[in-house]
Amino acid sequence: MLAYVLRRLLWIAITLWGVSLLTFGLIFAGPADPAQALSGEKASAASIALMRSRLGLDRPVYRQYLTYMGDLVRGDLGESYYFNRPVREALLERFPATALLAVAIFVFAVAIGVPLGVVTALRNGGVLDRLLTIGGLLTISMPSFFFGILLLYCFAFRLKWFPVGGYGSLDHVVLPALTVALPWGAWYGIVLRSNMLDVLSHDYARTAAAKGLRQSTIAWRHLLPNALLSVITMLGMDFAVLLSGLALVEYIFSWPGIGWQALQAAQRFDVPMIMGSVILGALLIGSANLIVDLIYTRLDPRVRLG
Amino acid sequence: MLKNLLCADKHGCRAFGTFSRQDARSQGEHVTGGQATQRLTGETLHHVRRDRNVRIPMPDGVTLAADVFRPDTPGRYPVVLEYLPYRKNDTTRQGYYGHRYFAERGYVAVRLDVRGTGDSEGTALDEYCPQEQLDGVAAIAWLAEQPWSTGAVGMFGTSYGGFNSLQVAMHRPPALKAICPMYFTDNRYTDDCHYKGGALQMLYDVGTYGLSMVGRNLLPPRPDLVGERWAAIWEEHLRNEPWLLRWLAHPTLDEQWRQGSLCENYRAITCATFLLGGWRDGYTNCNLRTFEHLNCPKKLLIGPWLHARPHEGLPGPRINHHREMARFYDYWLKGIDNGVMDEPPIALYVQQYDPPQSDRPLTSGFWRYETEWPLARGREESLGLDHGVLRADGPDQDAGVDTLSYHPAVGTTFGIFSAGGPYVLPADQRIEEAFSAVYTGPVLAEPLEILGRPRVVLWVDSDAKVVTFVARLCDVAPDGSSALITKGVLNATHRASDSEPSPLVPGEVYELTIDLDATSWQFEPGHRLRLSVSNADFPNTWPSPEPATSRVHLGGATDGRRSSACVTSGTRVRAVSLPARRRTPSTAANLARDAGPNARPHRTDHRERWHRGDRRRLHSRCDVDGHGRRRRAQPGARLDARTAERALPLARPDDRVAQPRPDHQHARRIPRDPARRARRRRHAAFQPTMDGEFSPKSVVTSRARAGRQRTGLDAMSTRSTGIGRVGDEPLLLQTPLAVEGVRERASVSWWGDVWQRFRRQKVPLAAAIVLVCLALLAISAPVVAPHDPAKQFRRDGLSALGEPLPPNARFRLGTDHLGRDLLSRLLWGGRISLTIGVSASAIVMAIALALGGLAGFAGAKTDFLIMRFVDLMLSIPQFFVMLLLVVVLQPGVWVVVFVISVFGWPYPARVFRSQILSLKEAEFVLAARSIGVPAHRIFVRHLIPHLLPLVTIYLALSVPGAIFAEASLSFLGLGVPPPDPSWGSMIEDGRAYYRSAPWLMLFPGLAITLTVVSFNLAATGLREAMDPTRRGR
Repeated sequence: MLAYVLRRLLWIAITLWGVSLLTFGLIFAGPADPAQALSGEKASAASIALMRSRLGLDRPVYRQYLTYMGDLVRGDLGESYYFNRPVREALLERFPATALLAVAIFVFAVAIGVPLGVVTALRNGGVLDRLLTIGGLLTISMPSFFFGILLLYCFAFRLKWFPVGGYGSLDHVVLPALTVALPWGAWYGIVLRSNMLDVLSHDYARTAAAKGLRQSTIAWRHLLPNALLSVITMLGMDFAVLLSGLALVEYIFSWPGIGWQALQAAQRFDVPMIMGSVILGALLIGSANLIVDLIYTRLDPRVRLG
Repeated sequence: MLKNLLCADKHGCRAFGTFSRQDARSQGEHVTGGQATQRLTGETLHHVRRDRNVRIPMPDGVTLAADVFRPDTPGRYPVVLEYLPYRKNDTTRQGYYGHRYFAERGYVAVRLDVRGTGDSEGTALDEYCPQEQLDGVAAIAWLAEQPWSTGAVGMFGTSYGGFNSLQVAMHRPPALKAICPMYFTDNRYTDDCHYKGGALQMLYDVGTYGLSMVGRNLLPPRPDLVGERWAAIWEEHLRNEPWLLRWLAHPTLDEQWRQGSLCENYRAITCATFLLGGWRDGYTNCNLRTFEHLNCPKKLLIGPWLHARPHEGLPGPRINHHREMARFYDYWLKGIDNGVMDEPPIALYVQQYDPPQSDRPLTSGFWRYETEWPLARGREESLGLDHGVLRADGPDQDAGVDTLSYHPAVGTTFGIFSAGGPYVLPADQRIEEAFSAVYTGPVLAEPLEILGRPRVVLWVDSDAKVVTFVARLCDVAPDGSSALITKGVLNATHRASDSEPSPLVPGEVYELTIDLDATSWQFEPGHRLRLSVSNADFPNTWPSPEPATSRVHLGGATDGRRSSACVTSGTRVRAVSLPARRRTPSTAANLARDAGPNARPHRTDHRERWHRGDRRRLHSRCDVDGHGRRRRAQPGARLDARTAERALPLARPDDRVAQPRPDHQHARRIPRDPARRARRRRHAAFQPTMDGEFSPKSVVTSRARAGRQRTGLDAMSTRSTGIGRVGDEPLLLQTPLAVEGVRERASVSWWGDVWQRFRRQKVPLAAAIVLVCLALLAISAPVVAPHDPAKQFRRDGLSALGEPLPPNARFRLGTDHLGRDLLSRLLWGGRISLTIGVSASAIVMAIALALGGLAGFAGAKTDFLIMRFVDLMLSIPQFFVMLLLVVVLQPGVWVVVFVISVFGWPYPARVFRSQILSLKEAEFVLAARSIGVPAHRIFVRHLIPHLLPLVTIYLALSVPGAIFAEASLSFLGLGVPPPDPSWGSMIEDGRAYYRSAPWLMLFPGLAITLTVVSFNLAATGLREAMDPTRRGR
């Protein structure tokens, strides 16, 4: 177990290194010049050169990379070009907001998806089943930003149930969280439903029915835990997608999270900020996958770590 | 009952004949559980129990081992015995179909190991030795006395079991009432696998059979069956002598071979005998000859088969001969008067030309009854040999000589003697006719049928002392291909006697009479006879020892049977030929005449009843005609077999025999001759397919179609394979040996099939139509769009307050914040969004296929590297890096496509890799590899095509992702640069006005949603349609 976790952690470290190399390469291999971007289009050559030497961009790329990696190992992500503050500090400051949103999304998605999946599996072919299928299909077929603006228009602007944007109270969380959680919940509901129907054909389901258990007991106690297994696997794999979705949602709802910050950094070509965000994102994805795998082994004793 | 059920689970029909250690010693296991059951046909079938290792004592104390299949219902039943040295519990443990068949129908079916073989004790010094025959007699006496036996015993068997059925019957055991030998011989010297025509059979005698029996006879008995005595029994087996040595020690006809040869005394057999044979089998000569000479109740059935049992062998048409045998046994062992002996005694298959291929799955032709052999209506025709020509009015005087030199390798296209598998039939003869003396007859104006043994008389001299002559009779088609009908081999030293051969004297002219193997063949008009002569039949016959140049003397002595204009001396082909019948295009007229005057009045009536599904006729040999008289089958008549075959599933659903199918390659090979091409197309279209299970539905289908296509069928000539009817009578063989779930299906390409299934799904079809419309709109945007998408109508396109206009008559969907027409922008935006979505997905698929396929195919380090890279790509926060990349490269349409492609491929690549990994182990890859196909070619030509369905589905699924990505980038201002519209950037434009002008973002948002929904639905339908398990449904 410990060896497995260590091996996975080592792999995460290697991934982070690969990600940093890739991102660094992208930034410096491309035609764009950070100093130029930062100084503005009309800046003079002299001021760009000054900016370049101030940021250390005049040194050879490999020196810059080595310096960056050396700092990174010591936990220093460098200083943001744009905000003039340490990247680590900016990320840590905004992390709680993103974490809150992510947790809210997770809670909503589970609260929507699991009952929907179970109920529609029990009512296979019924009206609810069709509604879920159609609704799920529609929501996952909408771009999240479009769906978010629709929600904003209906519930914040028209009905005035929730604030239009910003951060602070629990009310602020609902719309951004639902923007991501609704399609997710619907999608997981659909997946869960088909898993439940698969599981239904297993012997233990028949045995449970033969014992005289009520249908709902069979569904919740016997079928659901088994059907959830593959959903949990999907959860780990979808985490990277969640991060992208988060960025757009934060942008739309002016949610001060790391996603929005990363978008801004990319648009402004704030190299240390981008690097920091990408590395943090990769770290989160890697940890999420590891955690999901560990949970999975606890849930399904048939799975061996290897 | 429950116990029986469980037993059935364990030893069910599927596992039949297979062995599991746990149950081996149990005396009596249920093969099928429970009591007798009723079948669909109304037949009552018994459940069967199998007793293994039943020891049958011989008078000298040795015990033989038997497996006994008997009805699991108490009572006495007749016994049928199969008696083999082929080891019933291992090397031939699969051949129990017939035993179960008989046991289900109320017989005790026994397979007995010959003394010295299998699990039996004792020592076997030779095949078919007198001791073996006496053991058979003793075993029959023992079987007749058992508590489950009625005392009536029959024998049956294929090949060895057919041989010794005759041999045991010659001893006339009192309990033996009926035998059904199949692929048997009455002459162990010249019509077994040893010395055909006095020439040693190299491949069969020495190679396959002789050597395999040496090994087989040295095997121990099964310890788990015979118990502790196994080692002692093995010691006895180890005293078995290699039979092969004894055969090789007797190269001439002597007592070794006369013993056990029925031809020495046909009258020895008195019990009822049902002979079964095949024209392509090695023992084809014995059928008609034995039938002719037997002096007991007798029947004969000859099909087009090789040395493989007709319910499972190639070439077809297959029949279930067990049914015919069971009817015979019913009559002779159970005393049921089922009329089997009132029927015409001979049923035979008349073969016709098929393109010569060694793996031909079916033989064209038809079935026919005969009442007698030799045929009173047959006559002999002689043809004379001239230079290269075969003429009825052959040269009447000496016409010179043809020179023939000995090429030992000639013969590889002659087919393999008495083999049972595929690729053993004769191939096109032209290759080896180049090394032979060839004589071709004139183009036939009328059909010519031959039946029996053609005879070739050659006047030859040779410079060798020992030389073999091989004469082949071939059917030359209009396209020039030459199909071997039959051949005869004569070791010229045996020209006068098999017991006292004498070498040739070089230079002296001899008359050699070569009897070709018995056959039944119908030449079609337009075809020609061909005789070709060579000195070798490799690998069947041992090569003769010295170089030889022979001369065939043409012209010659008068043939008494012919007019004076005929050859005066020399070489001629003589065959018993049947009076040729003229065939007209109208089969109906033909049938009416063939069937005789009796049949004419109600032929049509019969056929209609047939199609109405009146199946009684399938079971009755004789039928009552319109006047209440019973009619007999008309010998020599035939009927279009196809009609009968198509109705078969109705008749006998549970007695089906799968017909072989032509290989795809062959189906694709199209003959040049247009007439044959047409025929072939017809043939393919009517090919029964085996992939459907028997179900009432499929029967209905076939019946419905049979009805519909009747006209077409009637127009078909008699050249069709299948089981025929005689005259107006329903069927030749009592049962129409049902073809499983016969359905006719025109050949459909894979994509055609997918389309058929796709279009049956309403929602995906609608989605696909929507997509096509969207694509058309996008393509025609320059024409359809009412305005220039970039033109700003600052005056009339904005409200007085400078706000966007809502939908109105001029601007159907309103205007945006700059006064641009929204509808035009939507159409142009669709152009860009769809272009980016589709092209990015296509690139993604290409990358995924290349990298995923490479990883899966190359394996090892390549796989490791690529997959770790995939892992890396999948653990990147992709969206951030995509943004970064766009910023670095500057926004633009193709930059967006590039960026989406770069991050889209890892997931599909992973899927394709795992698919390749499993495909790589498939047999077709192994096959390609084994014939030396280079790896890259295997990858491109064999593996990639298999992935195409998956690629198509993933392509449809990844377009929505690409459209989303484009929209998201554009939404952030990092996609398509303004003023070009894209759906994403339009939403971003409208975002600021979402309160005052919600339509600004609503329409592009809905456009994206509609597109993506349609792609998702279409992909679902595609997945369903491409599911290989649904092929053909």
